[in-house]
Formats: sequence, structure tokens, C-alpha cells
Amino acid sequence: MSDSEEYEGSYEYDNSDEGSSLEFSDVDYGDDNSLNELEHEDTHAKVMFSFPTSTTSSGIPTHRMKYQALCIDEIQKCIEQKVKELSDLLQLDIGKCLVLLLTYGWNEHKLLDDYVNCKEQSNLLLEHGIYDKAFPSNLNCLLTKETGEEVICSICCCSPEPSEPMSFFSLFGCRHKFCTDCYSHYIQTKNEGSQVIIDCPFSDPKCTLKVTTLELNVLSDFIEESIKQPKENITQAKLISEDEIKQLYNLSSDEEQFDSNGNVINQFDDDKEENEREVTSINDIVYDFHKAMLKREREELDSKRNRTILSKYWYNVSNQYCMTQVKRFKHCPYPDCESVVEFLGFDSDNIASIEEQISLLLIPLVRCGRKHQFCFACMEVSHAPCPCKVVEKWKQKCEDDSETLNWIQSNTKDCPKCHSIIEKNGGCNHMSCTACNYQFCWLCLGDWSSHTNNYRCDQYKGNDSLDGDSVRASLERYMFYFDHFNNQRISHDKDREILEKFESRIRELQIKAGVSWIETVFYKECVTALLECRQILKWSYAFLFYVPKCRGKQLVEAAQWQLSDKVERLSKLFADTPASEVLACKKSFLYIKSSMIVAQEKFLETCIDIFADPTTMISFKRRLNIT
Amino acid sequence: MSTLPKRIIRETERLISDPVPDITATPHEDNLRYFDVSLKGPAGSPYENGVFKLELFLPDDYPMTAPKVRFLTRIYHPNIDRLGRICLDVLKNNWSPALQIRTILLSIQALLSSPNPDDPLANEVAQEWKGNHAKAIATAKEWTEKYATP
Repeated sequence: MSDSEEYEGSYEYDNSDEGSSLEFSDVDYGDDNSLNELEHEDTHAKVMFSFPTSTTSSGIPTHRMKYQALCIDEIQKCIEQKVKELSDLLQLDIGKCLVLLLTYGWNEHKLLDDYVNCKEQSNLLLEHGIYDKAFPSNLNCLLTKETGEEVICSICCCSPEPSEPMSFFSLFGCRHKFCTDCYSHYIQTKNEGSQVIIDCPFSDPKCTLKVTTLELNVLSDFIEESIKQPKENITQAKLISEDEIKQLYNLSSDEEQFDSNGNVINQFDDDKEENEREVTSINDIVYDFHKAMLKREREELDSKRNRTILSKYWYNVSNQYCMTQVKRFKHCPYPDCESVVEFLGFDSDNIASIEEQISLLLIPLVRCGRKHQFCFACMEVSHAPCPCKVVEKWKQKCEDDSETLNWIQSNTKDCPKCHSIIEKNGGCNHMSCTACNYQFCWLCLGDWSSHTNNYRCDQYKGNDSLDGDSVRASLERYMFYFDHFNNQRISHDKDREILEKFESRIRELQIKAGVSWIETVFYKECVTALLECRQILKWSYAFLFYVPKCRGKQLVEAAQWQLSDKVERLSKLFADTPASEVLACKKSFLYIKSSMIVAQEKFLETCIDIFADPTTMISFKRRLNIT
Repeated sequence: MSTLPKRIIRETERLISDPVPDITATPHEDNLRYFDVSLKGPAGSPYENGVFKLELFLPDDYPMTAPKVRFLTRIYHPNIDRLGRICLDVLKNNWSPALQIRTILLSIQALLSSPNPDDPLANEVAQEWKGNHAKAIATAKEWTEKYATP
């Protein structure tokens, strides 16, 4: 493919080493794909729904939420559009309109009201720190070259040397000059503080004129131009040097070791079963390399964001825009993800707000542009089928009860006769229960009467089965659900660890097999689906803990069993298939995955259906103390 | 240690050659970003005749960020707390890199003349200031005599 040809140049860097060039193309390949993925998703923003269908198969409405996944650049475009419209309407420069919107906290209505009704529009503009005369089409006059020694930048106190003129920048409305370095440093400081309304720095007397994007653009371009000079350095930094690769591979500069690893990679195709240990170590290396590349990608993305003071400013403006409309926009809660989800209403007229949806025990589940699933209401990672309230209660319970439970288990025992919980707060092992006056031994819980004459009781005897309802027994139910919840959590985390590691291995194999990247997408899809289903299973235990006994509960449990069965089957397939055979087993993977998805959808539907019965709904809510 | 920016050198020079009336600011010999400040209570205020000591530090990114200033002498003032921290707009949001040590110290002096109990830092003082003004002024005078008289 053409991309790998482009990188031919970089091969020259490590011409002596076949192994490294192999990995190298792998990573470049991955890099390209992720870019494609992003582009693809950016351009195809469309309305999505929080639930696949508008009713469950048994006809219960799901009142799904409509939403759209956006990236921050799309927000910027949307703002630009808004500003453009306002600019046409008010016959005002675009940059000034943005400042107006910002100072009005995006309240366009009030802005227009004030603007139309005020006596003197130029006064209103000046009041908001906006110059009232139109900007010329070319604002390059804001940049000036100064030579005289009497000129001084009052921020750095520097004056131009006689031989070398200094560049100054000023806003069009006030022409308070500061040197371009200080001005851009000033803007950068404001950017870092996420400040979007930026005054002219002049302070004697205080100048309240605001910096507009039009002016910022001039300064930004100038700064870009001036740091472009050592451009060669920048491009060079993008190519990875041989040393760096070794560093990424976590190898010393010892050539021999590096070579031998390269050989191992080559050998691997010939005798697959050999040297499992070394294969795993290669796996680790590939994984580490992959991780390092991801980190690098992210850093590059960051530097892209910080590239110009103007783009950083826009980034802040876009974020601020979302923040001022918290009901409409939510940032993806995943770490390092900058995607935004926009709320677009519901597909049924029966509910009007997220709050209302929550009260129906439904979950507004959304996916950001990078496919991260989260709850739009409570901003937690997906917790289906648990309504938000259950999550909150469950977490609280886990926190409270695990403490209590631990304490009870480690500090108390039940009276063998009446099952009162007893704490031994000192004294000898001869206990007498204050409730039933039973005399027993603290160590063996046996009758004290048998303990006379140096009787020893250091051997464990199976506890009598407890009849009667002790606190311990009531905790047992909780423990059951908690254990299952926890097991799924651990399985989820372990699976993720292993499968993500595997993923890079698969990519490597795909390169070797010479098949397209598309051919391996299924693997990633299966991993994601499996992890999501584990997440659902995990929360299903918390859910069931609160669901009262009813016919619906049995159906939920049956559907849960179905899902859990499919999850285990897929999990087993992952575990049983050696990496080298994954591509060949594509069909089995896809088959089990799709049956798992069916089970998952069925399960989630059953969890919604259960509340069609009002008595279940009421007693469920009662258990949660909500009305 | 990094070299001192020209800006700080200029400011220090001017503070010494052309001092602000009733205010002195002297840099430490071993740390030229750290200043000992003494400030006379403005006439007509309850702080009149008092001499207040302050410390002023210029952070690394000065003048992009404001200097850090703190009263060392105890003072009864609604916008200054018991640790000497000052609530003043130009030290926070309204800082501009074109402001200087000199202008900041003048602003602090002005704050002593006109306290702003509606935007308090020391809540109890502010309440007293608004509820029982005469008593607050008396306390401020008392403190000035007790802590700020040389």
C-alpha cells in the first residue's frame, strides 16, 4: 500500500535491522488506521439513540434519548457558524461578535435585545470592550517594527537595539503596543488558564478592550512564521532515530541482543510452537512498543492542540461553550478523551427531560466519537442494566457494608444458641451470653461445661448450621450478589489486560499474513463487545440485589444466564485460540459474538420490561428509598 | 539560579531611585525576587501612624502572573485575613503584566483607605465592619497601635 512506501525513507534509518523495520511498518500502519477512524467518525456525525429500539420486543416503550457524538473541532465549527450568522445580522466583524457572545455568556437572546434596544450601539460595544469602528480587511497594521530606543515594551522592559528593530503588536482599537514575544506569552498564559475573555494588557489606566480572534489571528500567524525558521528541526524530530527505537523496545544499545530478537521474530513463522517464553517476551515488547506509540500519538495530538495560540484559544472557547450548556453537552468521562456528546431530545413525546427518564428507571446510555460508552445522566462508565439510583445506592452499600461486614466478621461471633452477635471486649474465653445466658467457650463455641479439667479446644469443628435469622444471614444475601459483582469486575479487568495485549499481537500477525487491516477489525470488535457484556453482567448483580421477588425477576435471571453463558463461551474461545490461529477462526468469533449481542439485547430488554408491572416498580423504588 | 529578567532589574532600580511616598520595598540580597516591604497606614484611615510590614515575592513567570504579597504585621481589615493574605482584584483576576510592584503596593495602600466589607476575606471582621462600624474602627486603631507602631 502507498503508506508504507512513504515510510521507505525511514527504513534507511535502521537499514541494518530487519526486525525493527518490520515493527516500524506495523506501527505506522496502525497510526494511519486510527487517523482514518477519526476522520470517518468526524464526517459522519449523525443522530444516535440510547437504546437500539423504541420499544422492547414485548412492546414496552424505552423512551430513548437522541444524541450526537461530536469532537471539539465540530463544536468550534458550530460556534463559527453561529458567530457568522450574528455577524451578518448585526453587520459587525466576526471577532467582535464572538467577544459579545462570550461576554453575554452565550445568551444570544439577551444580546440581541440589548443591541436592538440600546440608544447608542457604539456605547454598548465599548462597554463590552469592543472597538466600535469597523476593522480594516487587512489587520497586518497591528504588527509594527520599532527601532527607536525610546520605544519600550512595558512588560519585559526591553527596547530595540539600534541595529535590530523589534516587533510590536497592539489591538486595533487602542494601539497599546507590547512586543510580540510578551504579547504571545500573555495570550498563552490566558490560554493555559482557560480564559476566553482577554483584555489588552495595558493597565495605566486599565484598558478594557478585548482581544478578538481576528487580531489574535495576526499575532498567531506572526509567531508561527517566526518559529518556522528552525523548521528542519521539527521534521527531524518526527522521524524516530535508531536509538530511540531501541529505547522503545526497552533494549540496551547492545547490538547482539537486538539482532537475536529480530531473529526470533523471523523464526516465529517457521516453528510456531517453539520457545513460548520468548514469544511471550516478544509479545510484551510489541505491547510496550505499541503503548509507547500510543503515548507518542497523544503527545503529538497535544502539541497539535498547542500549536498556535489561536487554535488553543478556539479550543478553550469550544470547551467553554459546552460548559455553559451542561444539560446539552457532556464531555466523555474517559481519561484522555476529549469527545463531546450532544443531547438532542427524546424519540417519544412522553418524556421531556433526563430527570424524567431517570425516574422511569431508564438509562441514557451514550457512546462518544471514540466509542466510549457512558451514562449521560450520572457520567459513570456504562452501568446498564442498573438505573443510576441503583448504582449510587450500591456503591454506598458496598462502602458501608464492607466495613461493617469486615468488622463483624473479624470481631464478633454468634452466640451458638440464640445467634446474638457478640463482641469479646476482653477477659477469658469463658463467655456467657447476655441474651440467653448460655455459657460457652469463645474459641470452640462449645458448651463451657465440657471445658473443665484442662479440656483443650484448639481443633476446628464444623459450625452448626444456623437456623433463625441472624444479621449474618441477612448479610449473606448481599454477599452473594457482591461476590458475583466482584467476580465479574475482576474478570472484566483481567480480560481487558490480556486481550489488549493480544490485540497488538494480532496486528503484527496481520502484517505477516499480508491481509488488510480490515480483516482484523473483528477481533477488536469482539474484545470490546465481550468487555461491555462483562460490564453489563457485573452491574446486573447489583440490579438483581434490589429487584424484589416477582415473575419478572425470574425472566431477568433466565436472560442473565443466557448472556453469561455466551460471555463465557466467547471468553473461552479467546483463551483457547492461539494468536496465530485467530485470523483463521474469524467465523467462530463472529458467530459467538453475534449470539452474545442478541442475548445482551434480550437481557437489557427484560430488565426494562420488568417495570411494566407497577407493583414491581413500586417495591423496587421502595427498596431504594425513592418515590 | 537563572538570571534576573530585565524587567525585574528595572523595577528594582526605580523602586530605589524613585521610591513611592510612604512605601519602601527592598530586595533580599540572596534572593532578588523577594522583597521586604514596609507601608505607612494612609492618613485619615484607622491605620494612620502605623507601619506595616509585608513580604512580596515575584514568581518565576512574573510578570505574566501577579506577585505574591502578604502582610506580616497583624492588621484588622475585612479584606486581609489573620495569615496576612490579601483579597485584592489586581492580585488575582485583574492582574495584568503591565502592572508593577509599585502599582500593586499603591493598590494595597488604597485598600487600607477604603476597605470593601462586601467582598470579605476575614468574615468576622467584615461582619463587625458592617454591623458595628464604630467598634470595628476602634479595634482597627487598637491593633494598629498594638502591632504596627514602631
